[in-house]
Amino acid sequence: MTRRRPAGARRVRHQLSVDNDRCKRYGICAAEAENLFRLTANGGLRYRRSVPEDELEQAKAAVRCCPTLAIVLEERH
Amino acid sequence: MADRESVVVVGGGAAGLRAAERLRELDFDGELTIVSEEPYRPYHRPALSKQLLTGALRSKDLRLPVHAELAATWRFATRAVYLEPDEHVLHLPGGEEIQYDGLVVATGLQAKHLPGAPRHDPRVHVLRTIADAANIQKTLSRGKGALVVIGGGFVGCELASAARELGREATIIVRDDLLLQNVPGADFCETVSALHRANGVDIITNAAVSHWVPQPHGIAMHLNTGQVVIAATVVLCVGSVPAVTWLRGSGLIIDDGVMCGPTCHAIGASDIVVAGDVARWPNLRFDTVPRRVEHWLNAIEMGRAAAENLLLGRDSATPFAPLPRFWTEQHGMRIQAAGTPALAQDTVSLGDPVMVGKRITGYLSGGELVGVVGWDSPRGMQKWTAELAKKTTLSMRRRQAAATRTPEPRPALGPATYDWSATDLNVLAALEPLPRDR
Repeated sequence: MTRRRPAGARRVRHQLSVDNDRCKRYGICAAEAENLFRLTANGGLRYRRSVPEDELEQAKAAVRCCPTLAIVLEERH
Repeated sequence: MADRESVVVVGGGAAGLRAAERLRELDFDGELTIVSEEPYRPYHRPALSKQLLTGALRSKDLRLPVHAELAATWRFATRAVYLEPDEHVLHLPGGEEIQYDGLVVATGLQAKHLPGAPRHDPRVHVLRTIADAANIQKTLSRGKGALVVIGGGFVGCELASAARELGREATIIVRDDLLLQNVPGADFCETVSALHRANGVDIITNAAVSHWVPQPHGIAMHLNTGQVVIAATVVLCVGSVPAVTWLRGSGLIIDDGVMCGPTCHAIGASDIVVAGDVARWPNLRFDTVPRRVEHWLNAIEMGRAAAENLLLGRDSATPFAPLPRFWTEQHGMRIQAAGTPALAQDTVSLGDPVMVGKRITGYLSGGELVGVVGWDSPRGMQKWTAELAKKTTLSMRRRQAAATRTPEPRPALGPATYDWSATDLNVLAALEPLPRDR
């Protein structure tokens, strides 16, 4: 679904979310996108919800490589 | 060769999908056809032996996410029949022919058959596809009977673990002394075997089925050890073979997967790239020996690299030299690996002071770190995987520089020699060499 954006319109924003029931905290995402995901010392996962434009490719890589398909990347208009 | 007008991807698994996705990301705007033996869209194969079996995920949850407009023609439930590389023609059933400018081979593996096993019996399974997984589930749900797995590889271990999670009896029958015997370093096999035994899996070692007796109440297996095991469900996990029969007579080298050069291009063709489990290529990060890598993450990375190199053309392509990464989960224990532990002659303990009680094993070949395995230790693994990537990149560059400087091969270092150079001391400060495995 490609929608044409008129010049000067707001840019598409991307948002990350992680399904906590699916996530097993292997940390593959943290390796693929170290500025977006971080394994905490007590075994948890921290992540940034909104993805800066220049981190978008890394965010996609994290989604692709997640061993449990726990990460969703969504466009917000 | 940059202006390809039609690309055909053969194989609808992770490697094929990621190749197709990458082609579109790189603005390939020609015709894209994906020929898949499966009747479904690409799904998350690793979950078949884990979350799908335990019910944590359903089949509709397994669809792989795609972040590009694929605009592909999907040929589901279609088996490639024959390839004529010189004519650039792929033959499909019914005499159909597809012409291509570029071909991606990503047909993956088939589960290996165990000679003598009654495959016609609906209670005897293999596990490769989502249909296989559904059949296993169906048999398992018919009663409370035991699951018997033949073979001690990763899939078999995961299945036994899933069965225990469901409260079923599980038995693994294995030819060797321990589970996962093809991973070097005895402590790995011992740890996994102990983990399974502690979780109630019966491991019958040094055993093979000599006689199958399917009966109404279960399948009786007479073992060469004299034991008789009765199962409600049997899964044959005795390995897999590359799916290459359709390439017979094509001129491609297919003795163990499809032989490629370092750039994923098939030997003997300039418009064919190969990706995933079926590809046998030299990963220059480690050496020049062509090998296959049966890891899910490799299928993803190689699918993308193959697509890039197909568009670049053989002469401009760059070698695909990844650091392989792998994970498995058994009885709640996350086991992760990076690199190529199979190349190692030695292991060392990489104690991480941050993670007390967690274990990471380093694998050494000729004194160099070539692999790491972590036990429930993702944070330590993240650090060591990055370190391993850095080290292996350096030694790859060193080898390449040496190869261009001096044509003579350098004498190989003995396996027991460890090169304690200044950089190594920084990196491996925490290393404590263990006694060598005998």
